[in-house]
Amino acid sequence: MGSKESIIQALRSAAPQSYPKPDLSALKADSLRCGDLLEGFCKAVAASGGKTAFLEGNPEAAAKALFPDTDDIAVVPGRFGVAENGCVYLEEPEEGRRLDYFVHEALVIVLDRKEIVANMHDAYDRIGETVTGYGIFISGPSKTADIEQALVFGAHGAREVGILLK
Amino acid sequence: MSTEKHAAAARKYLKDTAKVDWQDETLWLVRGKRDRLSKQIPEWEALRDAASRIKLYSNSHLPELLEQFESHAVANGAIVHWAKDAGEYRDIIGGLLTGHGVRLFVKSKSMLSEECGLVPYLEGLGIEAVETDLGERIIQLMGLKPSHIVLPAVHIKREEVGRLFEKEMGTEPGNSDPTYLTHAARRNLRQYFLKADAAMTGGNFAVASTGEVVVCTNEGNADMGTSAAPLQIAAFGIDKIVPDRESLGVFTRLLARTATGQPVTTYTTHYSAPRKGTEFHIVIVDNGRSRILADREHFRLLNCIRCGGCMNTCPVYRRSGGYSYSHFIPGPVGVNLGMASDPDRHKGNLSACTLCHSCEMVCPAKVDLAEQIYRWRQHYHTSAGKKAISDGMAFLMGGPGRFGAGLTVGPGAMKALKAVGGHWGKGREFPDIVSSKNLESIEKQDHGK
Ligand code: SF4
Repeated sequence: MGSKESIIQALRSAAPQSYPKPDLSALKADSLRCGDLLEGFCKAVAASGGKTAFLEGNPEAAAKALFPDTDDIAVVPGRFGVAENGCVYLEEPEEGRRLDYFVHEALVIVLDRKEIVANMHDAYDRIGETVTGYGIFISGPSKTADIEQALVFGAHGAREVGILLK
Repeated sequence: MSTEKHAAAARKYLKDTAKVDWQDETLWLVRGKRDRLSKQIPEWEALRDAASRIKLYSNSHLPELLEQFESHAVANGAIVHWAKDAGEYRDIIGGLLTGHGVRLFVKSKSMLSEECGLVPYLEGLGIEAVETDLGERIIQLMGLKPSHIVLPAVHIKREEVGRLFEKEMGTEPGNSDPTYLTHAARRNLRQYFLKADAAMTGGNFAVASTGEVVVCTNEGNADMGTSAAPLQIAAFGIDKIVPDRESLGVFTRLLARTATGQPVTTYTTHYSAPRKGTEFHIVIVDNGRSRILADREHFRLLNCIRCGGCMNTCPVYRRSGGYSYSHFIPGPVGVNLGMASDPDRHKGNLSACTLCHSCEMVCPAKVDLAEQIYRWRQHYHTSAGKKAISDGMAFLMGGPGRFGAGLTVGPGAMKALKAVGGHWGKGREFPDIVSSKNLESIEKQDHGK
């Protein structure tokens, strides 16, 4: 018998009591929603250590204006933001260049200001069950508190994250 | 990890009182952050309830959900492996790495890899295995093991990191500034990320309906590794399965808030297909989990999402440190996981609990941690002294009425406990119990918010 079969058999013979799948609709309907999604989102991004700005004109120039101290900036499109935690959802980048999201000093995400959902329940409802190969929620710059719980930005990923709202 | 009984190891740990106090305060700070964040979510208790129910559903439907996961993962282009035990897990990963001629291997934090002894095994095969989470890297370079599942280096002082990095990374002598040291590690580990032949992650969640593995991190080390290397491996225990993305939403709201007091981790990455031109292997591991599932008294342990919240709140863990426990996972969940894997080896941890039930109040997936410790004690405690503690605690904590009574007679009850107990607390005073009046006013304050 292969390992898969023996694991499945062990699980079947464990025969735990069967629990039903919970209905999450009441929880989702009652979940935290801020009044002004855009304002809530911008606050949450700031709390995660990121910046937001309204985009007028050229994204590259706006990105540079946001982070004048570095030339190592990636500018990428985001699909939507999440107001409860400041996340932006991004999908597989062109040519599978996932490293672009992490390897540069600054990451600037261009987002439609109307594309903000309230919380993670709404976020997953929005994505649905479609599989695109890769997806990521990013909230602010890379961070760590592994040395004496002192918060430091710029652990391994982007040191700075900006969201340009178009 | 300790090879002696928790009480004996804790006695030694407690000698360095300054460090004990510092560690206690650090962990309590994290617990405080969790409290603040959870209070901002009015539906917090409903979320915990949902998380617990989803886990009970998933763990009681594992064969279907795992097969569903596998068929989606294969359709996405991943290659799926199954490992019955730690040996198979090591063989699969070792085989993949040697088969691909891997010399340098970067990995992000995975308690499963600790459980299965992966890194020492790979080193035996001549593969350089580099931990890339900052805390894990510090621990690896020091030749130690993690003392906490989310904050692996929480017991290490900045000066110790400064001296270590001076030796390993050539940082300035005497500089122990956390920002300076973190950025030194950033530069140092970059070379490994960009040169590595393979990268590995664990998995916080595996979604049955999509076949994706979800990894939650703050540093971006998992993402750097997997986005650069030509071979990616993700390995997770069968209890990481969640049915669908709708369920995942519940856990991504709870995990970071409980673990570190953040609304969410910086990165929540969903891996389904291999990056263009690369391979993506997934290893699904049992290693004793199906045995826990068959145990009616302890199967709720599989609800655990490894957030570490029960450690930060536990009065015994906070004041005895991760290394006083004999299991590689310490704290309330570690006491239980150790007993579930090898009771004879780990029963010395059973005294490391006051049955205060604080862990159960904090646990996002409602694992009945203290109740389970109490049950283990009924089977494994033989000495009269320990029996007296557990009976005393059980009597005191047996129900809200009795707990209330205990609070009212507080000082007397505590005196009785002090007389019988103090195994882990030798050299420490039991905290003075709050009087019922105080408790009422605390509750009022909480509700008034
Ligand atoms: S038992 Fe609960 S609190 Fe402890 S690590 Fe697991 S999920 Fe977190």
